[in-house]
Amino acid sequence: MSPKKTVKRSFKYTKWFKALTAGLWQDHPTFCMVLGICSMLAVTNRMNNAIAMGLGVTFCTVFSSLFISIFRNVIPSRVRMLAYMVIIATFVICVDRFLKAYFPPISEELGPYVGLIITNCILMGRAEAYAIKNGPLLSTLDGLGCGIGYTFMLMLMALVRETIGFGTLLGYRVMPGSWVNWVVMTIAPGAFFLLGVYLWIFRTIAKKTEA
Amino acid sequence: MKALKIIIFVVIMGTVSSVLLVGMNSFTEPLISKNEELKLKSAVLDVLEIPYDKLTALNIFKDKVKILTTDKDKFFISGDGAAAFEFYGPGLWGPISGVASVNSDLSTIKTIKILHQEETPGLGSRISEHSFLKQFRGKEFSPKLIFMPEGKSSANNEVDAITGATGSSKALERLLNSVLQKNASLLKEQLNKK
Amino acid sequence: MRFIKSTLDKVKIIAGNNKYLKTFNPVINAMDEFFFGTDKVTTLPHIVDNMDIKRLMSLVIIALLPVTIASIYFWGLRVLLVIMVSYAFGGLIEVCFAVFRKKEIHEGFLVTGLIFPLILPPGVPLWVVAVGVMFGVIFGKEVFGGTGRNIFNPAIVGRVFLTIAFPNIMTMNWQMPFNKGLGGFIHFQNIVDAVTRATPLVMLKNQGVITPYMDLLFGQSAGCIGETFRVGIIAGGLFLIVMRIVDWRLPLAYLATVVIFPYFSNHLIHTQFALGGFQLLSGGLLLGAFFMATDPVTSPFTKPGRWIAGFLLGFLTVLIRGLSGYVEGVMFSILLINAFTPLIDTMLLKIRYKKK
Repeated sequence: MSPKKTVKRSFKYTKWFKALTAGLWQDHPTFCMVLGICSMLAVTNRMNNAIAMGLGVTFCTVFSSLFISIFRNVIPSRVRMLAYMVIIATFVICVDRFLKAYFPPISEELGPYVGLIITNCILMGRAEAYAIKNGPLLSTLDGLGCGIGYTFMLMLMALVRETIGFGTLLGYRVMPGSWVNWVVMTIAPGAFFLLGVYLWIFRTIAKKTEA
Repeated sequence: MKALKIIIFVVIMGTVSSVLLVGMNSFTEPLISKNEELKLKSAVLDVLEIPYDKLTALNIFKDKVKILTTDKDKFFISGDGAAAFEFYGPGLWGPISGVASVNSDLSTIKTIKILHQEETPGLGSRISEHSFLKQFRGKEFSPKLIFMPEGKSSANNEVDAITGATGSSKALERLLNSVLQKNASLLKEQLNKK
Repeated sequence: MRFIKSTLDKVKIIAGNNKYLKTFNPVINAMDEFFFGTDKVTTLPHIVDNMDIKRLMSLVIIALLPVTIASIYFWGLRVLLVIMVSYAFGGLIEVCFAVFRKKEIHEGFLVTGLIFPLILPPGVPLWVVAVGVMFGVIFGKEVFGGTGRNIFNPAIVGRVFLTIAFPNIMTMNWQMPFNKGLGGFIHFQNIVDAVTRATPLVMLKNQGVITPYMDLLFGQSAGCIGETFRVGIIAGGLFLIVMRIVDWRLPLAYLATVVIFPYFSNHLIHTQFALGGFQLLSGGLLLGAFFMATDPVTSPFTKPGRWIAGFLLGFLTVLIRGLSGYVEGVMFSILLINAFTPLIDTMLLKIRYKKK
């Protein structure tokens, strides 16, 4: 065994690495905890929307986790939910205004779902389960991991939904001209079926790798 | 003492976040209102068929489009006498809104553009597609615009409805008829006054 | 019946003694089971009956035969192709799941694979048939654990999926049936005037035209492949009722509600539903009421439950037909009531066996 490998291996077991990767696989917000489904069904009909939404959520998880964890010793425990809400809402409104100002078409497509990031359980969940108990650095990493995991799942959904539902990907035509669009994939029911299939696949993999 | 601490905390947190948001708002507000203005004006330029691009849209609009305001409505009149106006009303499932333009004779349609609709995906939602809307060009809307079953339209006030989307077609027919006639007569009045 | 029984018994004795004929024993046993049922109590898809699935499914297929043959006459030989595609792709999925789960292949698919093409428009592209039947079998049946465990009727799941996924294809491929000479038996497909015909329900909704009842009964109207020859459907349905495959309560409640409900609501609250007779004979109502709403797996097994389900089905069908954006409501209502079936049964059992 080379020394390099040992270093790598030891890095794998650091707290930081764990905090970051928890959201990517074993505590993945969607397929493990099945959180954030509502906005996932609504915005993944196109890749652009999925990426914008994912980045928005990641921004919010990172900064809300950071600030909640900085103030974790100041926040009185009786009003902690209120504090989470205010901190999260501040960042969500920032994202909403930013999109409206600089990317009006995407903001229009996402509609009310940017504002609804506030109610996305991933943010509250990470705040209550992690950020309130851990230091700023770890909390930020944890928020980043969850955000990236969620973005990845959104993109996976959008990949199938946009190619099948519109015949395009990021607005470019990828399907042959004779392709008939599957309208069901552009609306929420199609997303439900797709999400079900993804959960099926990922949980089977998870079971196999754990066993 | 504990309650006091909570109250102080909440007040401070509220103030800080409000200040942040107000700052954010004043920073983005002009951009957002500019975006909205651009959206409306480019839609108007679209239906009046004045070529433009994103950067020059506002200037072109200023040069070529005259705005005529009545007490409630706004009309956008281009150099050749064609007039555009916004419209909105109920569809089958949700509101429909868009911009329409009529030719200078005020009795035929120039272009119709649907900006927002919530009809059945794949069926009723085809009302916003170009292939459906292009057939309105040059159609007469007085006394009445009539939607015929697909492939059966012949007269100059008839257009093809969408097969399988009867409800949406009927809603749009009703909406367009009322809106076009009302606006055309209003416009005539205004022009005669001058 | 007695004649068949005695013949079969004789054949059995002869075959039992002859070593060459012994190889055909499974065939003879299958025939025996087919006509007279077995003594073995099977658990799927019905729990309390001593009939075996093979016999039940075969009888349903026999009941569907007149409709199938008539549909070939009306729409051309392409119907056979559609049925074959349906069987091939649905069967493929079925086999895949059976292999992965290491279980036997159930005969349940034989009926699904035949009913599914019958509820599609005649001009439907073949790849759409394949997509629909695969979706129906996977999400209507296999995700729940296979035949006998499904909550929804797989054929209807597939059909509803297609309706939502390809609204254009599913609402525009109506044709006029053949009605002269040998008709569809010698033609592949009716091309003349293929797309512009509307189904009776569409014509009613758009133009207020009511198609004559005789045309509706004998298949002289546009519609799905297997829903237009209504005399055949009624005959097949009655056959199933007489053979006690299907309980008469559910179809009766369903059809009666559809006939009576518009009358009452038109008179009492001045709605504008089409008349009961026309409702009864148009769309997929008869096919749905006799062959799909009564599916032993997805319909209530309690007798009052069947009355309730039938009533709700009729109510929903008329409402969806009359008030929604869709012209046909049979499949949506059957799917909805399928979801309520366990609830209806549990409630009724709770009421009956209340703890004192």
